[in-house]
Amino acid sequence: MKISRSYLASLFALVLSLAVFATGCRTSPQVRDHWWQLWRPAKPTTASIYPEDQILPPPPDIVDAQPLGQIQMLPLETPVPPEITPPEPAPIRVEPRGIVSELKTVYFDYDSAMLTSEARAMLENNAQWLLQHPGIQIQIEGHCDERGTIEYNYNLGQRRANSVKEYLLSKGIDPGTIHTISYGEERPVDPGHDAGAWKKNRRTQFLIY
Amino acid sequence: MPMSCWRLRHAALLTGCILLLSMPTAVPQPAAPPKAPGEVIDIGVVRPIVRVREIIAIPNFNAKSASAFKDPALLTNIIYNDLELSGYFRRPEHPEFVEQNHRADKRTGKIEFGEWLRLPAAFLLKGTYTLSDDQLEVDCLLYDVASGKRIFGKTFSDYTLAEHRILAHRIADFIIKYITHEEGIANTKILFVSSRLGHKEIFIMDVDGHNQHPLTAERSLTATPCWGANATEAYFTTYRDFNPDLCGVYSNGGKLWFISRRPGFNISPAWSEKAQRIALTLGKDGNSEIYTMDRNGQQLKRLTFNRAIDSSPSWSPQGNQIAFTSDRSGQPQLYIMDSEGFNARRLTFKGTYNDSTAWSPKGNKIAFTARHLGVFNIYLLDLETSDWIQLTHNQGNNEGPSWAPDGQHLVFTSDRTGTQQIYVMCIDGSGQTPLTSTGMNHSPAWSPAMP
Repeated sequence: MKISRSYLASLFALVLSLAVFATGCRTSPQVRDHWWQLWRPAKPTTASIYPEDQILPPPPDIVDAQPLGQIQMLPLETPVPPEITPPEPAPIRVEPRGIVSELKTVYFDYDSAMLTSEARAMLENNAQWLLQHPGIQIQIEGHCDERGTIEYNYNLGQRRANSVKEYLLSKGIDPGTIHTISYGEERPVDPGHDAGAWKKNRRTQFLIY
Repeated sequence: MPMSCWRLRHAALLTGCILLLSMPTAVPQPAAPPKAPGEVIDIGVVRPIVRVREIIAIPNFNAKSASAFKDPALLTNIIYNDLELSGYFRRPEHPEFVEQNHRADKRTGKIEFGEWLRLPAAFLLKGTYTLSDDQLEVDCLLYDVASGKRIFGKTFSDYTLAEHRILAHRIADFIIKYITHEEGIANTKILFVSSRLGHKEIFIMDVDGHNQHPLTAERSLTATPCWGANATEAYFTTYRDFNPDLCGVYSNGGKLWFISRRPGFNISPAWSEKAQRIALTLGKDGNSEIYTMDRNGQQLKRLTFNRAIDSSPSWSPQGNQIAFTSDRSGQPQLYIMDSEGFNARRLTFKGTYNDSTAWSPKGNKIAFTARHLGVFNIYLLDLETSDWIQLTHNQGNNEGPSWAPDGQHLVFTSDRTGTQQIYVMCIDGSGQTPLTSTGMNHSPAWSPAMP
């Protein structure tokens, strides 16, 4: 098949002009590598078709997408920790005298040191009693049920005691009067091996010196 | 040399077994058990290949002296036990034929290897002993039954009758060393916590479960024992003064001293002979953080800084890295860092509860406890391939592994009989044997090689 010289020349010119046009388009100095850098959230309409709907404020526009190479990685371990639980006061190396009925034992969920709303209500009362009796040194004992490793349960018991301590401190109790200790799973109230026993054993109890 | 030929052959065979062990293969997963809420189902573990155990026949030792043991199997039972514990040997299935063959050998005055081969036995240990004035001396001869060749002959002397267990352990260790070129563990010891006296005290026992006795009389609560300097000291936590303080005690009993009495936790100690430091968890900052200190509790260095629990440190054999548990991700997971606290990185991304790291003496594996479907089991984490090798399979809850100095055995706690007891096993998960039965026993710590 024979193709004329002029046909080939015009084809070449077309390809060349297309290439020039394409490079001419890339004049913006900002290099956009990722589709999400081009994405803009749509502006919400001011009125919803459902009147009871709450209209959320528009999210802030992404103005300067940072190239990946310049993103600052946070160090894994910050040198100065955010201390929320204050340092443990010097231990009173004697056995606490015992429990008082006004300071109620607080119970926890499995594998958790979160204060439930029930626990908060209990602690509110305990805090009130402690505020009425300033100067009393108390020990908060953290305990766990028998599930979980022995070693980790010591830490979990301590965390439970700490979360109770933090709550009491937020109510204005003097940090120097609160001592914490963890017995892990070693001091169960109920030696049973069922859910009922475990529930009773996941606790922090209050003793006074 | 026929003997060196023999040794080469058997050494190659056993090395092959060990190599096989270190190359776990994937096994098809069994049908998935019912889903528990909040648990990851497939944690993708591999099972180890169980090693081959050779049969060794040990007829009762003959007395050369006038006086003899009351129990003729006094030494041989201990040696059998040690060799079975090693994971390289097992005893013949029909012990009555062992004595029968032995009597026939005595009648004819030579060893009928054909009969021993029919037992069947791969090895034969024959011994004689002299017992005079409480002094015990044993001559041992080990034979390769197939070739009828003698492997070694050795005299063990300078033992008293009271030391007969140590003597038997030494014979077992000698056999292991000669055949596998690995140091035996029959003379090592295990620290643990026991409640048999009514309160939790630190106990010590031989590796075969004998000679269990308390090291402490704290009458309160003790926890997390570990071996200390020179394999003669032990460190543990005591609640004697109503604060978890770190104490030291000599492993042969006697003196006890305080190492760290800082407010809050002084718990989970781990000693590194290479680094000459104790890594432990301290609670003085308000939550559990990992520190290192020297053996007097001085020169404190803080390694972790965050609000999460950082606990259960375990030294690498070189003393330059520490594996530990942290729940900075929201659940307890295994992490690793330099001994100065830098370069902390996460090791486990499977499961929702991984704890109690124990770094293998060869440094290539970490034994740990993981919860899967609400049950705790012992796993090995291969640091080269990141494979999880499951060693216990839901025989109750299993936790708290500790390595033998030979890197071939683990001791751990299991509640498979209803109460927590201490078990020993090979690193292929085989030979799981209870060592304790009285009271509750947990938190075992295997000693380094004894001098």
